[in-house]
Amino acid sequence: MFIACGVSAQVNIRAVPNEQNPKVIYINNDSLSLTIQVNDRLEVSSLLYKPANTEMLQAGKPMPLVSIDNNWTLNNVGFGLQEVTIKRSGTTARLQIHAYSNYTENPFHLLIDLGFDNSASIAADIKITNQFKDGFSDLYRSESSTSLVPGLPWLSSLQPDPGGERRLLYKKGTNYVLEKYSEGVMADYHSVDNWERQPKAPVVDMQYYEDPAFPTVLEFPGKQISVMVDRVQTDVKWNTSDIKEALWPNMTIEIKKKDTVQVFKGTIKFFTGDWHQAFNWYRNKVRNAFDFSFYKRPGLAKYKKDFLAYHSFIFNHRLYDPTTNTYLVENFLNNAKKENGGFDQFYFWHAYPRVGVDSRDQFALYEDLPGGLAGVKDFVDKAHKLNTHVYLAYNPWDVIGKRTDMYQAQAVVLGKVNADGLLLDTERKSNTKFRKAVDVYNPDALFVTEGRPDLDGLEVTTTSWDHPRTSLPMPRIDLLRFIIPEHRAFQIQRWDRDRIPLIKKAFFNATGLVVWDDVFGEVNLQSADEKILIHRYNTIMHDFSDAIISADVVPLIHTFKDELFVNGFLGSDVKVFTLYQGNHAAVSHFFDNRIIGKLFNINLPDNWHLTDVWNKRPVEIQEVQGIKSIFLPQEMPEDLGCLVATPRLIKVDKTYEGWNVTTPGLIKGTIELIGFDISMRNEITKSTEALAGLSFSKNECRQSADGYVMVQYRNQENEVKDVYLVKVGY
Amino acid sequence: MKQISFKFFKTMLTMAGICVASYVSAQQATSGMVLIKGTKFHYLQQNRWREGLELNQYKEGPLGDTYVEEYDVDLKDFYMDKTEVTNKQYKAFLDATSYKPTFDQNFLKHWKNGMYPKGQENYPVVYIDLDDAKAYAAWTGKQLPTEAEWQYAAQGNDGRLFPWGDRWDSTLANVGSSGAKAVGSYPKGASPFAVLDMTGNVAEMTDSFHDDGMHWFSYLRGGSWFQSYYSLWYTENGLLTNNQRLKFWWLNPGYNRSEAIGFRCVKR
Repeated sequence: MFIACGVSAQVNIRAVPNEQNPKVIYINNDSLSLTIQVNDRLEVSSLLYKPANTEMLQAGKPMPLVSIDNNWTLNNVGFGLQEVTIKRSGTTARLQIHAYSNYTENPFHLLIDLGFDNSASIAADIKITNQFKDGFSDLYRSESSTSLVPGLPWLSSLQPDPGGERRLLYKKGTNYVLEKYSEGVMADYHSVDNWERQPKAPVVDMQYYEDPAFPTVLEFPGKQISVMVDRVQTDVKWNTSDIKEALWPNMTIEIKKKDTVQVFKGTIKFFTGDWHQAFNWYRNKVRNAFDFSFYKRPGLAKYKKDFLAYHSFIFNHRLYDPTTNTYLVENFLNNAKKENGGFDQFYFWHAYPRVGVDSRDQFALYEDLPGGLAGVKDFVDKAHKLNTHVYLAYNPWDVIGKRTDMYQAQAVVLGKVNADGLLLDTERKSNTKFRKAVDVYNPDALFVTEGRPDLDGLEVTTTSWDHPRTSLPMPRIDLLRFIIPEHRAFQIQRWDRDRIPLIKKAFFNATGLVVWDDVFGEVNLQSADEKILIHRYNTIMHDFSDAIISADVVPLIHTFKDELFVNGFLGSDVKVFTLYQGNHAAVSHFFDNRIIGKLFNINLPDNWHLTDVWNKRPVEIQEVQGIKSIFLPQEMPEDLGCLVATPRLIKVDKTYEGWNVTTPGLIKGTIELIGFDISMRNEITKSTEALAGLSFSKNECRQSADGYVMVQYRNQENEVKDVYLVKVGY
Repeated sequence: MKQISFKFFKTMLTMAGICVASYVSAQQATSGMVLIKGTKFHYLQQNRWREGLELNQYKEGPLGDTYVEEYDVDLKDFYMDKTEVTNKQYKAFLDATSYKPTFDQNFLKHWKNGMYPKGQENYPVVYIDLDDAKAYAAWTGKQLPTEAEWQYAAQGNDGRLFPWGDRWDSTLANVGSSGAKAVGSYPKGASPFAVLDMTGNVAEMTDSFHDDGMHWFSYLRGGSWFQSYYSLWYTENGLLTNNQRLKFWWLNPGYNRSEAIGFRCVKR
């Protein structure tokens, strides 16, 4: 028997008995071993993932490569006729199968093209074409000969871990959710009812509005193996709002005579690990094609540590005094500093909803503000002295001024008042023409869009609002925050009655937050609880901003507790981990689902230590066989936490009277003794230059209720670089 | 007896003179005004959704979602200016009182050297704000109309959408033009009480001031000559029906004084 054997340098495709009339095709490389039975069902009988030596299909259950279902009486006539072509080129190879049926009831032809290199990836291009022959007069057959339900059963029935958990990350509406499957394998690919899913709230909600689409990821945690399905192109509307249909179309489509439908084109990739690997692959794909030129402008550096913003109708009487006809900007910003830690940004909104009363457009209205443009500049100057950047609003829909170049008009105003940028009302992106007009007056000015830009828009717009219609419950992460951390997306929600979830989301994702309590004259005030939470959030964001704005960000670090979610912001000398506990209010001591003990693994140099700076609680690092883990000895008092890891720069020693803080080595900066007021905000009780060290006694300690004070070292750039929790006792 | 008779006669003459003077004064006080007899007025006003609304009753209607305020109000007799206050009338006020606003940004912006533009003596006075209007009203012994008074004067009791009836007719009001016109330019657009220019020309201030603790606002009625276009985000100061109003925030004087806002007075 002649056995055709084609050998490329790294991919081996072997057809048995020969390539002209194969019955079995074996594809082998260093990572995969795939066996295809060339029969009327074109079945995948084996798919071995070699790095884990794991068979991905259920043993003894070959699955069709591509299936179609329809309503014919003579169903499953299959594709008994096949034309196989194997192409080899250097280190890659392609397997092309044209499969069709000699039954006239089945006019469909499968055009399957699978590409292989030496990796665990399959580049799949699958089309179905309708080659129905005219002249066939049977009515029922002709009707049935255009509709079908396509599927990729081999893909959707992967189960290397029978009985084990499966998780699927897929696009549900505009978000991505990571959901668990129950046990159960699809025994019969015709029946979708075997897909049992125990509907639960999503494990996590990840929002990212724009293409390119995030790949679908199927996880098998028990085997530490995952499969990524990156669907680049399809003519079929995959219903990804239903988990059952997230891996195959599974819906009736129409293919008219002589038409062709692209069912799938993309990459199917097997890997060791969980969805994070897919995320990294996807992030690299997006970033490699992204133009970061605008983000690299040196002048943008001063905005990178802006976190808290305020948006308001400028004629709110907290900002403008009608009895004296003056702005109250200093009063407002100073009060804000006490109340919530201070605003880094201020959106100066002056036109809507007044514009339209007469012929004055937004630019003419500037002249009629108190002091005109000079008055606005004075406002901006005063804000700058209080470390607040000011953005002007640009209303693109305001055309009553009939100006020939609104970009130029806006740029002139921006330059005259020395503002820091523009809020682009109703826009999702801007353009280079506007950018160029503004660059003449201020190349460092930022564009902030009200809507989220697509990828093209993100290249020009360096800041945007994350502004959904309603806030959805936690845990939610903003994928964009982790894919392009250079882009600053500020959380905002104008109509929520309770903005606690919004603030929590801003904290958990370490993004900016916009406070908006005067919505064009309609007031939606913040509660005291919200203000306290914002103050705590604001303190953390600023104290550890170097880590938070770093490029090394990790979403949803794997944890050992189902309801614990952790994001990592990994600076070079400080690492910040934001924590959210999903079940805090529902913890039951009968089932002991408390979040204590081992939380997640961490990779830290020796001599580093950790503190929960949100709850002012100690955290332990335990090391077992070289692997370090975070260990929480007690539950967090609330559903949020913030672990900060730093090298030990300061030394705290107990004395008879109290404690001494010393700084081994010459370190400039400030040592602070932090006490806590009733709202858990940090209050600096005592501070000194770092070189002088610090001594404090119990009497000087404003403790938290459980007896801790915080000592921290702040460098000359106002960044906190070491934090100590000292147990003072009562 | 002759002396007594003369003295009596003189007294009678004096009293008659006072009566005549009072009558003349009263006539002068209501000169240019129309008497509107009191009534139980079913007041229904509405405005399209606009940010910054307070808690009005919400209703869905053929024009979309609206906020409606509806109740019966007992109106007593009152006089209303037949026309909007004119430049000439306002000049008389200034000449008599030397009134100067505390903050004069855009005050009578279109006047030059304390005089209105030539030929515009009978144009509605504009570029005045609420305080400027109230000052004039106080000098004349009048007041700004309440919204109910204004609407009743424009509408009567049959709920008509425009002073002349229910159908819009661009020949009966100054809306969507290039500027205000002399008062009374549209005599056929009169209301049931012969009040003129209740629709269009200039939007009219009313006695409806509110302070919500963070903003000042009141309501303008009647719409004006200026009609914005292209975007629904523009505030609606163009074509307004009798029962529609514009929420107008009192911002800074420079903003508040507008080419499209004027007023008329009532006397109760």
